[in-house]
Amino acid sequence: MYLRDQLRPVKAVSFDHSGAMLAVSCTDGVVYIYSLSSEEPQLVKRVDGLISLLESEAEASAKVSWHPDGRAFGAPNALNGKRAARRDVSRC
Amino acid sequence: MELGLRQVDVSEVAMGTVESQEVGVSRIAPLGPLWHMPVLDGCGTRLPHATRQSNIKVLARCNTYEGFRNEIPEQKLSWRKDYVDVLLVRVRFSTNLQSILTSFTDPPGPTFFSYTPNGRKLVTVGGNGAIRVFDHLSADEPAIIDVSTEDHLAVAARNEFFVVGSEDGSVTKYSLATNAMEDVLVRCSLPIRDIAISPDGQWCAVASEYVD
Repeated sequence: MYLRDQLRPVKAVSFDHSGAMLAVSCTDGVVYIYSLSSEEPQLVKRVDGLISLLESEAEASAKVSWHPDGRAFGAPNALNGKRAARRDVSRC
Repeated sequence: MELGLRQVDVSEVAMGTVESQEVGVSRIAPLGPLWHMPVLDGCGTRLPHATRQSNIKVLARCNTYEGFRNEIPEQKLSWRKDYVDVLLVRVRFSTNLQSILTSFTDPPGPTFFSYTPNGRKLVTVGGNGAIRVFDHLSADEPAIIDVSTEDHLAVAARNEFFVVGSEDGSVTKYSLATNAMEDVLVRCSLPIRDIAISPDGQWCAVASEYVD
């Protein structure tokens, strides 16, 4: 199964703790959030400004880390140390 | 290796720093859910090895996700719920540092790692082609799986198996029961940059450089 919403290479992937969401960190600096509750994964949100613009082979990490209760996720970011975003996917 | 013990107040953010082989262990009684992030210093998921200073920082937080510290550079982060479990893992992981340091004589690149969800085993992969499986319940040397032709760039582990992604684009599944290769899950044409396994162990997400 291929997720083809990304136009540039993907740097990191991360499931949340329930397995219902997948965060895809792309080298275009955007985190794509997919919902996995249906047969086909649905893109539910694009989060800009959370991760840095990184090349694929950059050593720095853009991997999203999900809070255990699923309400928030964070990612490392060069400019601001570590940043957290609230997961408001039900509102988009 | 001597392990230092110190008391930590659960109500405040506690940080323990490991300088090379020294380790401080905090003994606390968890009050409700605690989340903490074992973080490795350096670039992303680089393991400490002989040619670079290593710091392992553990943040203990009580039931809140405010108060991230800004001085953490870009790191791979992971959350663990059971504080005591991770403390034990951290202690044993530090005793394994010595064997990691002596066995990597000339590491040609970054090392990547993944803990199993139960915290028992640590799988490390790196540029020299060898896959190492550390078992925290035993004092033995790590099991080594030699895959000499490939540069490994990503690993994700579950309790019974782990999946490794390599620079040649292949994603391979290994069994933790036999420490041997089970299956090649997929072959991409470009390097694999990251792997994640869903919590139920049924799905594996693969990030590669390929774009159509």
